[in-house]
Amino acid sequence: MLNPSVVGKTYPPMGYDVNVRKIHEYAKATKNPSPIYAVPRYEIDKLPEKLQAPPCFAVVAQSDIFDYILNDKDIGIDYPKMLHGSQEFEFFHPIYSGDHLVTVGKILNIDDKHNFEQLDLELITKNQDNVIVTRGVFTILIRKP
Amino acid sequence: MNRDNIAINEKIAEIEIDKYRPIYYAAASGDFNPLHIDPELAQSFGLKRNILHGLCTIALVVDAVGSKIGNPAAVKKFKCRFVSPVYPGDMINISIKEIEDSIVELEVINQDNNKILDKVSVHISNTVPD
Repeated sequence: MLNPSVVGKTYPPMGYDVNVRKIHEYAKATKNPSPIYAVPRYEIDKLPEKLQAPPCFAVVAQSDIFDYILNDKDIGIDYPKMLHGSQEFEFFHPIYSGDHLVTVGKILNIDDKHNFEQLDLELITKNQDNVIVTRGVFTILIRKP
Repeated sequence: MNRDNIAINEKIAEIEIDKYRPIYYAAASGDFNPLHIDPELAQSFGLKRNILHGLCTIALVVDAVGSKIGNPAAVKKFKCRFVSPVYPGDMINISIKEIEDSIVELEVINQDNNKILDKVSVHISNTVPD
């Protein structure tokens, strides 16, 4: 069972340095249709030094804190029973190579439904200018036995 | 950004999910949950085989919209519910269902016309930061 007392719990910032190679790798993995990313890996140095990342790239910067939170024993997530229920993203500002991103996390809500428990997790990512680039709300469902 | 590029009921993308897509996405995102990369383990959890990451499906949809309107940075907000898994070999079809002001509602289905995502909405903006 999820522990409802963790609602409101916040998690310390985790940093991530964005580079051209990672943006290119992510764009290729997500079959991004933009011709900007179409170069093969061996021509990656032809990409601009300040390369704009696809909108959802923040998930790369958020993955460490996401894993950290899901493994927080205080919450009590039964990992094999976990499903991704729904997702919201707000894209406030583009991400570029050279950015230093910092993500913080917060448990927004825990709800006991009929067949599952629901956890809403907020991740907010800012850049080196303290500008929010992306806010994500991840709704995680834990199946009941 | 040009919202005139989109029309209701228009299919904006048809994307094949190849066998290796979950592995590429795991490497790019750092999400190596075995449900996404190990077909046998996924079957032990009642799935047909390994499934694509939900966040990869979202990226495919957001990028398809951004590409269609001509500026990915004009996509300001995205919401969806996950209703069915995406398997390697599937075809994802993305269509415009409704357009109201700055909100575009999408249909995201597989090759069998089953919904992959539900309540899919994208907010797009005319003002884009540098």
